[in-house]
Amino acid sequence: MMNSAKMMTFPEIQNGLPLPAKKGMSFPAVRSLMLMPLVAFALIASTWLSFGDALSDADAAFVAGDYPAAMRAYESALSAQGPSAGLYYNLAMTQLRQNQPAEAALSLRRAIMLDPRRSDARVALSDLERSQGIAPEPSAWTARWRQILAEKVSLTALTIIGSVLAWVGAFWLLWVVFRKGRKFWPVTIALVLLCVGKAIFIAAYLADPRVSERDAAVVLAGSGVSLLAAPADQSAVVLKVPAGANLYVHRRSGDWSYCETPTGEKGWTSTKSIECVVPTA
Amino acid sequence: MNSLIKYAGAAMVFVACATASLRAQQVQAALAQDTVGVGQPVQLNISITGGSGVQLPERINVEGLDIRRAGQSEQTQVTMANGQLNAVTSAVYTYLIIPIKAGTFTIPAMSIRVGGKELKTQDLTLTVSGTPGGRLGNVPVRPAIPVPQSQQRQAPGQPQVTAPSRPQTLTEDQLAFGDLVIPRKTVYVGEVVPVEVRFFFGVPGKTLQEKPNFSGDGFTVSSFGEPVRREQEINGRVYQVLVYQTAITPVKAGTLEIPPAELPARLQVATSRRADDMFGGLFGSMGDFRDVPVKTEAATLEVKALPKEGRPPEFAGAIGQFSIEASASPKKAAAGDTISLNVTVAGRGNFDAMGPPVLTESEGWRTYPPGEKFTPSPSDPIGFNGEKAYEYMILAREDRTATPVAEFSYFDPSLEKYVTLKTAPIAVDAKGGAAPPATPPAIAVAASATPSATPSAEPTAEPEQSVLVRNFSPATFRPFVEDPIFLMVNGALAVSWVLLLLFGVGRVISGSKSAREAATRKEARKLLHKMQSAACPPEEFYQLAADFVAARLASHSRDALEAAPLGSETKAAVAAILDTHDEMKYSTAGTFQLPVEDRRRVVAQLKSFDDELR
Repeated sequence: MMNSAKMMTFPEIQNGLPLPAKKGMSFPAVRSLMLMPLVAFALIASTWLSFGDALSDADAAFVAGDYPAAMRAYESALSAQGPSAGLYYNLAMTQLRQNQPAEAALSLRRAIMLDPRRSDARVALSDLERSQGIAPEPSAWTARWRQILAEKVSLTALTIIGSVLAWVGAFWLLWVVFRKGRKFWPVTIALVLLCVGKAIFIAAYLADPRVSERDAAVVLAGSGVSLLAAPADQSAVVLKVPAGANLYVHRRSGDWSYCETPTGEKGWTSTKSIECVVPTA
Repeated sequence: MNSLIKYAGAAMVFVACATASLRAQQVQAALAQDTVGVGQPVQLNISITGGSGVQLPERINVEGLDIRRAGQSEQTQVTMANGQLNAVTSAVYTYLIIPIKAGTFTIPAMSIRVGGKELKTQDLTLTVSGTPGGRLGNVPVRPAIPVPQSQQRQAPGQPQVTAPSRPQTLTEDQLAFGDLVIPRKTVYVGEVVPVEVRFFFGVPGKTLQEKPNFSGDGFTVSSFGEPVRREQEINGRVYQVLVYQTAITPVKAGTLEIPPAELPARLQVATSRRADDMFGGLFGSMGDFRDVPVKTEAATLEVKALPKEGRPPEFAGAIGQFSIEASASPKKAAAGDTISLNVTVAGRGNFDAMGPPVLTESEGWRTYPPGEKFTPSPSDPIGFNGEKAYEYMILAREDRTATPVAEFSYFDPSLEKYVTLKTAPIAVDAKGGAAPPATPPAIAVAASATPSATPSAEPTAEPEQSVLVRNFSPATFRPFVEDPIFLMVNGALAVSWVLLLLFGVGRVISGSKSAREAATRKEARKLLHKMQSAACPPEEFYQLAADFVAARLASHSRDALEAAPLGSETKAAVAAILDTHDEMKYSTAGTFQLPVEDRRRVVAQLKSFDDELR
């Protein structure tokens, strides 16, 4: 007995009894697991700090009038951090100072798409379009309520609320239908919950510019583009569209895109002269 | 042949005149000028279309004005359209108004009976300033349409109004003559002055060009409209009159010599019979033709510079008499949405040269140079009367409840002073942007194009830092409904719901009568299966058999067996089985034996019983 006790190592003895053997989880592994979140946190913190530094540098360059440097800094921040309405807005301000109205229009549209409640971006875009001689887009009532909804409430929160209500209604309906007893009012309430939830969900979905403006593009060619009757250089010109104007791309064919203006005119234009608001990978 | 043509033409005109009575009649009254000085005569024309021979009063009584009938002219126009001959008779009745005192006078509407119809003219307003009138330029004051002296009723003490008076026997230079009518003697630089150029033709002939030659140094001339053609009787001779309307605008101060207007024409000077041209037509005489330049007289105007005293800073060159009004649409605007502020300047004056109204009280608004559209009055061929609409796009930078105010300054030549008009602010509900950006370069260029017109359009300088934002929350271009977590959660809920639905449906199905019967049958068959086992002792075998019968009949009662839809043999066999079961259960005889053949027989009987019950 003594011999066998002597043969046991420290971790395996507790109050004189051998512990059950652990499979694949040694103490160093546990220690490593505990360290991993710390390392991850440190990495994230350092990245965020360096990101913050880069943005401070960009802002300083902007204030100092070094717009090319500010633009590079905002663009690299977008590449590193990913899309952000604030970053696109600051980039647009820099592009305006650089006299790049079409690029600024694109950045502002991206900022609005990411955060429809950015009224400053809407104001700036409105200013910019008027300065470029771009007519205000006709606002059908559907577009109008979509915009109002997007501006007033968080579409993500609305989507979640709508989903929750709909699911509560759906599960309640299921329970009510299969239980015994009176059913009229419980079923009615469940159906109302279901319908209201679905309506809120659909409204939030349709109001989301990432859905409704999915095909939007902006004319980047400095002199604007011509919408042609056919995808050929010699085709008849349907309409001239100024730089910075909004178009909706219906389909692509080689180097040509079939686009529609907000006022309904359709035609072909070179894909190179426009850029989609939703960045392509 | 000529006679035949003449009679045929007369017949056509007669038919046309007869149909003319079916056409709509119109009556219109117009003043040659709305604003005059005391003693300065002004002409009132009452035009009647679709009727003639109308009885009008010789005098119109308005206190402060002396209004007398001065003459009339009639004209029948025959046109051929779509193979149909149409004739329209029109008449112009001319009154001469002599203002006796200063003030604003309303000439009342007149009821006129034309072709059995009672028609009414509109009220007219004449403003008489204290400035003495009298002779205008070096042209004698005369009505727009000269009238024969024989028809004039000259009041004692009134200014002499002379018509172009020509002798009955026309000399060569009196075959045709012109008249340049300029309503004012003293004008201002930049002021638009309406002018009538009239050409009188006492003999048949035709003009050699459509528009007169009329130009000179120190003034510009607007384009001529289509001439109005009339017949005018002067001293017993009928003249054909072409009246051209235009406007001149002096460009420098001082004495302005206005040269004669000239219209080349080909006139018939002999009296042989020949059909030709516009004045001869069907009934024209024939003769030799001579090309002559028909000229008006020259004129002189005194041109004054606009006074510097009292000139408002927002004055942008408008000279005349104007009114202003404004409207806004929409009344509610979200952040970033523009409101269209429509400002209309109406009246008479130099619409071509005037600048737009200035927007004031525009703090918190961003304004842009307006778009503009001029609409002349329908009866004005020279664009002197009308209205100019300015559309301002305004954008709230802060929450605003009222639009900016539009201010418009002009110089009124009749009052000889500057006037500033203001619109009232219009109530709106406009939401402003949180942090409007500084004006982009392109906007700054656009705004600087009209700095004096919209000084408030220049945004206030904002610190560069303030246009940047510091909120960099990560976002995605993927809609939230396409987020994997959202899709997974909703998918799991959907699967759960479907499973619960299936469970509920299963429960409903299992609770039904047929389900219960099926369960009973299944249970009974299990008993039968147990009975077939060789290891099953006889007591248990018969107990199972009794249970099987009870399960299938859903009763332990013998009455149920009797009532069951079975054959008598089956009933007897089952009754025997139940008797055996009772015997084994209640007997104390000891152990029973059950041969295999008996087991098989009993099982067969029970199967038969089961089959018959289905």
